[in-house]
Amino acid sequence: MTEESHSAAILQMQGYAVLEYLGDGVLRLIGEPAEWYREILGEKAATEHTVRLAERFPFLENFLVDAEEFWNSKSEGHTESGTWIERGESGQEFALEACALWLTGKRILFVQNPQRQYDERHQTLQTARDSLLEHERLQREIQKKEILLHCIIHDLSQPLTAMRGCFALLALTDLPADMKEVVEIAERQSQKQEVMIRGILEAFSAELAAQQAFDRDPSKAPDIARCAQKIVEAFWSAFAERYAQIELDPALDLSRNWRVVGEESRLLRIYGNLVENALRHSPAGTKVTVGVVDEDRFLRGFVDDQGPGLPDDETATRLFALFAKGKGDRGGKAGLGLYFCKITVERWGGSIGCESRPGGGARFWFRLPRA
Amino acid sequence: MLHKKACMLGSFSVGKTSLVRRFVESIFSDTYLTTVGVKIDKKVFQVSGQDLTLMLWDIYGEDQFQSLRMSYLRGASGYLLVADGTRRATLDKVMAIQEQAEKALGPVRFVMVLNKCDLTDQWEIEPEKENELASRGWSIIRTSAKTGEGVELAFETLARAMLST
Repeated sequence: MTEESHSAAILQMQGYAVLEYLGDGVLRLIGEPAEWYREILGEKAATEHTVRLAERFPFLENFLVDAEEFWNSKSEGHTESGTWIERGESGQEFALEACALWLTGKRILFVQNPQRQYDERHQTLQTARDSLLEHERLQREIQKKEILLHCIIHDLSQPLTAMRGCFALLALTDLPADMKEVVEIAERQSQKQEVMIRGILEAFSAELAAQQAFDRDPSKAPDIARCAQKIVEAFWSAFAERYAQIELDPALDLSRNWRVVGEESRLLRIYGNLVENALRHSPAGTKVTVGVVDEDRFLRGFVDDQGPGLPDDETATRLFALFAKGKGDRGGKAGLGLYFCKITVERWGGSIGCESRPGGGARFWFRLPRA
Repeated sequence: MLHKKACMLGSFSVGKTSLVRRFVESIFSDTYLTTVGVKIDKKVFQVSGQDLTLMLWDIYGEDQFQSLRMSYLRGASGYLLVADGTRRATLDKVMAIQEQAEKALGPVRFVMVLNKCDLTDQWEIEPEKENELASRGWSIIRTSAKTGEGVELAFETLARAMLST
């Protein structure tokens, strides 16, 4: 047994077919054929020592173009074909992979049947794709139900408008005092109900806005620092009216790359909602600072105020929940602003939170991946 | 006998393998089995009075786990773009694949199929979108690998287009 066939025999035991490329589509089998090789080519063809394998395997014919390019380049290393499937004479399927390389001055093609690795990879991909399909299906279901809910709520609000008109008319008539009181209660309750319905419809719109697609092209990604700057400019007069101040963090270097995943108009809305929230909690004479910090693969936008800070029993989870208005008389109008921030930031692969600052006041922040 | 290579392209789980099995073996299975790698099948049939051996390269669906190797398309005379009519996003995906394929192969013939047309109540592709694609001169065919509807037509249309060039 020559050294060449000795090595080939070892590789054959590992399930490899070792072939030398002779040019013009012809390959020479070195050593004995592997079991899968016999099963696919049949006993007679498998024992022929020079073969035009490409005629039997169209995939290999295609790969030989890449392999020849590799051999001609005299590069070191090897080039791989990727996986393909062949059916044996009995109908059994074999996953095959080819690899071209130079070996002792010869153009060598290793073909192997990595069935176990293939089966494991197949199982992993199957599970991942099944999960993706299930996720897509659930999202569609949720969307359908939300639309249905929206329609129901919208329909429920229609008669309410008419009812409120009737109560208003009744209130104008000459009713006895006790009846007048009943009508007033009914009017107040219907008004309350209308506010609630409007709140639900607005929340629905906020969720739809957050779910809208965004461009993943890095060249179109928004600059979070520029957004912070725009928000400071937009809110400057609102703060002045309350004898408070807003500033862009002086440490922020606008000339750097501050691009994040997301979309500019919604990013401005996130900053805007956080700044509005800070404004509500800013006593006269205090300052709000808007900025961004670099956290390697992420960028963290923040809004710092000098207000009373977060109540001890307040949690970020509760504050960012739907219809959460914050504790005390300075809570938001509908409890939608921070909720919108949360669902939008999460949709973009980020996170959001808040905390009391050691020196007083609160910090609201959101973290987004770099584009 | 003429030999032509055609590739099946599209996102995962749109039914590429099922369409090939329906066309080549007249078989359909409801179970989704993802394709890893490339499977090559052939079908001999007559198109416009000529015998043709169609080599069908069923290439794994592209997603975040596996990206398409353009070298697999080498030598193809045409391709079948497959979208799942019940998943709108697969149409966007296959349109992006078409651009990649055109870059790799040049202007070779292709047919777009909107598969799973038996699931009418779940259909997500607006007729306007189909009309818009048709107005680009694309052949759009609704298929169902499950019922067989449109399958022969899709492959024959592709084969005819490939032979006409």
